[in-house]
Amino acid sequence: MSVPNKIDMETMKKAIRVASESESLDDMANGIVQLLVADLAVKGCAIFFLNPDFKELEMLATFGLSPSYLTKGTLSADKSFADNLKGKPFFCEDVSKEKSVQYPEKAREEGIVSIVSVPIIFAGDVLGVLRLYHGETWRPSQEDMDSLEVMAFTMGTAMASTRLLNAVQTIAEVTANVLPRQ
Amino acid sequence: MATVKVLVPYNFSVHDFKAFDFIVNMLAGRRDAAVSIFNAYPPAPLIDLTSNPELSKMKGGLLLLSEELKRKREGLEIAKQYLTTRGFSADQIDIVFKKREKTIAEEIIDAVIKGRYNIVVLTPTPGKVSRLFAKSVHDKILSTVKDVTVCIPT
Repeated sequence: MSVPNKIDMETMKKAIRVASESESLDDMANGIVQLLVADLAVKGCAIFFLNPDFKELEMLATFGLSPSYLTKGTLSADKSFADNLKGKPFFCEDVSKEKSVQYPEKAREEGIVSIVSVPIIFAGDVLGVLRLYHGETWRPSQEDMDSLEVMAFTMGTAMASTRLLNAVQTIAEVTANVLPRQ
Repeated sequence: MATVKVLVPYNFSVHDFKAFDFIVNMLAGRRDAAVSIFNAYPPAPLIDLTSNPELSKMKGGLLLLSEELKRKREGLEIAKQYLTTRGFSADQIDIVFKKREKTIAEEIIDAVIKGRYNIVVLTPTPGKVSRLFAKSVHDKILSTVKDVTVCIPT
């Protein structure tokens, strides 16, 4: 029996519009997490940066998750869906049976049953992860996983372009301070 | 009247509690200290309610937003409780919860100036990554506010 898709073209269009039209990375991330929770009727969504030095996930935006779940502890990238570090998407149908969940007890308390986690990649580097949390058992279809990967690639491009913009702005500020005023 | 007014931006991250611990270590027991826990929540035009023709979906979107704000409000109350169980009285702790209309750095700067805070305790970010992508909120605040002590516990 085929698994029904949760993500349709309308949701994809809205997500990509948010990614391309947002004025800042913060706006983009908050827009996408809100959109995905509303459109896919999942419990929550989060976007994290990967800190490659500490191998930790740093929160960029969340929606639908309680503050006590968000402050449960640091998220170690190699303990929490480590396959994402290799650039592979991952889903866990039942958190109580999955070893890749770093805080399974906290997830159960939060009412999370399934988690889907997709790496955000740019130029071969993992920049972060997009994570969806569902309160019911969810085995996403291959099409849904493909759609999430496309969204994550779009976010990766937006993140890389923001990083470049920040670098250029910093150079401009330093240059303005160094050069003599006319 | 409080002579030491402290603003703590709180973004529901695990690292934010380092800022609260710092305040407890520095100011717990001082009756002249007042602490404001600050959160500017992102605006929500992004669940495009108005263009959604399905009324049920629209109601669902609004409900989700109001639930999210309720969760955040509860989170701020938990943070307040964290301080009141560690040497502060409830009347010393205030919650500032507002819709974000500018960048987060600008919101914090506005709050500092309007509220006449003496001290801002910023959330420590564990690494350089967020700063690389999102430009440093810390740098913006440090370069803008005057006569204010800015603390970043690590």
